[in-house]
Amino acid sequence: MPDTHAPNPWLKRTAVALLLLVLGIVAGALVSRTGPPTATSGAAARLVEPRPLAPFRLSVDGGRLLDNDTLRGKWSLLFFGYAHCPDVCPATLAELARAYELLAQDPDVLDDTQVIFVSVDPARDTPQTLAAYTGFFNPAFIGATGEATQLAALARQLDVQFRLGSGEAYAVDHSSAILLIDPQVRYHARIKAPHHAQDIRRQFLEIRRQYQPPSP
Amino acid sequence: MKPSHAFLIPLLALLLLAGNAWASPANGIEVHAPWVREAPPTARVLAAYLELHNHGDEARTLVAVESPAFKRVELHRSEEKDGMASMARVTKIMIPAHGKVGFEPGSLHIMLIDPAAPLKSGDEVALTLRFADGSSLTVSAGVRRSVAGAMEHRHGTGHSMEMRQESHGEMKKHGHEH
Repeated sequence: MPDTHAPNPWLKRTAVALLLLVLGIVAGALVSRTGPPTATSGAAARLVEPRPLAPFRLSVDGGRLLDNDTLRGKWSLLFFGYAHCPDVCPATLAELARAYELLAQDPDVLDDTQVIFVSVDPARDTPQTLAAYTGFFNPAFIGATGEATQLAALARQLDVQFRLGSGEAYAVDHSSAILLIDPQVRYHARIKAPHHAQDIRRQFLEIRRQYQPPSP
Repeated sequence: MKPSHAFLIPLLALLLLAGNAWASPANGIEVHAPWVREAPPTARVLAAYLELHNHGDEARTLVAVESPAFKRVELHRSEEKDGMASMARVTKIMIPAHGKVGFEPGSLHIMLIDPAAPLKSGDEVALTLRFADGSSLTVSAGVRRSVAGAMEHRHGTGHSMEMRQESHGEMKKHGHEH
């Protein structure tokens, strides 16, 4: 039997709030004593020579396409997964959503940034269900999927791997990296897992800063 | 826990009393900070996370979790290896005597399949943990958007560092932790 030891909800909430405050202060003191955490978070790897994407074609809700043209002129952060994924995919999309919110504070960055979740499980995910799925994390996020050959072609270009399991409630193994496509529709960088919003933001901004747009 | 952190003990004890821990005196198992990740309303599969503490002198084995809010519940472990995320079903989890096992994002999780109704932040989900010795423990897991609020604070304490070190040891073969 659950035992909360707290008959009065108001008292309980106040107690929790006070304790959290105290613990927060204690945690701050501990962190400042032990120094900054070691760099265990995701790292970005930039391609020495960004790689132009060969033509591909995926579907987005509302009959729209995701292809080379829809990537042109924008930075795209792509993550490959599947909507029946309970752990890694929602955790990654939640970090991407927080990164997106953080980037809203950086002038003009979101104007040319898009986040795209590519489902490699078109048997269970449709563009319609994906729209609801990605929209939960951020209404601006795009959910795309398509024919197996198209998915494989795009994945291969981005060094993304995936493997569908078997059985009724099958799982899908998939690359955990976030892929960065530059405004010239070139595979530009990959951010390795584990993903944390602040690191995604920092690495993305750094890559943007070093980017040389084509001379007109 | 280092002696210098001893002052945390009463604080933690109070925090536990404040309603985020469940204990089964029968088998010495205590469950801390259970939560369910809120998922899109269309999601058919969700995940729950918690920490299992075994205060007893004997190892305990978690063999099943049940919930009236879901058609099926399974134990799974996500793994990250060579840039690939994968997931495998686990049939039992041993909690060593006086040891702890953490279920956390990107690692061990309780997979909740086919919700009876969509769940949103603030809802509570009953989870019944069944152990090999026949004992069971029912906890209430709050549906939350992410590891936030109390969890963030808790992770900043010496208590949590200790817990994480131990769980690293237990799960070193599956060492994907943040």
